[in-house]
Amino acid sequence: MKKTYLVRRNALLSGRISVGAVALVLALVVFAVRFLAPDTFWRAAAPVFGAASVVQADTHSLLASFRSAARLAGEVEALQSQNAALVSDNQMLSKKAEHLSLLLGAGEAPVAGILAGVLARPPESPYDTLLLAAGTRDGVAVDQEVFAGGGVPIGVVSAVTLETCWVSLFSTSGRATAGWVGKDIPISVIGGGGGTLRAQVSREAGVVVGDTVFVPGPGMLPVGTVARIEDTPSLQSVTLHIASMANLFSLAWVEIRPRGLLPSVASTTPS
Amino acid sequence: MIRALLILVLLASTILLPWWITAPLALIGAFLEPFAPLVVAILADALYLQEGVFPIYMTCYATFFVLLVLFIRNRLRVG
Repeated sequence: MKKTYLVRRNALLSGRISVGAVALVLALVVFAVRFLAPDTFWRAAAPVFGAASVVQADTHSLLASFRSAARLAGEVEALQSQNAALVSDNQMLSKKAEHLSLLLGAGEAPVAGILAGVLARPPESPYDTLLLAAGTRDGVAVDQEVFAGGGVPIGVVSAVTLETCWVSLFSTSGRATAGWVGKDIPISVIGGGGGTLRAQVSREAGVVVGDTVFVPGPGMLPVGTVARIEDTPSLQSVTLHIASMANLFSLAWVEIRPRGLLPSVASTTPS
Repeated sequence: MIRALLILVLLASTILLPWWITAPLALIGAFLEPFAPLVVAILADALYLQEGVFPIYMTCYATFFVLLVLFIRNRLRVG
């Protein structure tokens, strides 16, 4: 007697599982671990991010090696002379600050910042945030300020766990930060995403390319320089495109400080 | 085999490459493996989404795109 099989039922029992479905289940497991056991997750993910940073740096070096040797030598020479000038300026300003401190009396003792390694940064992160390997255990709290090398402010701590924290960058799309351009022209610095900043200012303000942009902190902290000015004749204001002083895409370490405190170390070391 | 390789490449690119390269790669990969964008988006949200932030944008966008791809594939098969 001929036995009739249900074709659809057999298809379901064939045991053929899509690679995509397996990957999806694994991704969901990773996602669940991330939110159910965040500290375990970040402890396991930190070495992966570290290895990824090494690969990215190596790739960058490999790509840079294809550039013209003569051009690279020229750039190195220019940077060395610029560095020497900056070291000289810095030493002069440090001496001046010391003399002023002696004359006016010692101010508040500098507070040591928290040095934190960068686990993830833009452009790999689609959310334009920094993920740092320091959390409440290290003394990090929400709203503390984050500085790149040279004391350049880059953002504010927006969330924190036991061993990690997230930094909302000034360049996060739509984020507005009060600041100044030039000597005392107030502006609202708007994040454009991907490490870019922009601001609107009246045409009569006389802002030119190369002017420094500051944000409040201990004094006025430089965040970038005006790289391009977009002038539309029908509008009364011009749009400033600001280049950040810190390269967010290659940050390895940052310093976290409570708001409005003096930097613990302000030095430029010669190369 | 090619599908497995595609998934592995996309997972590596989530960590190694800028998101504006990973996202188009995942969308193109969807026509070979429909769930590829969703896998990448879930991993990206797990790795980069800030603590306590909702909604999970990448996963939401990818879910919509995967549903669209599955609908198109279904219509093509019927046709």
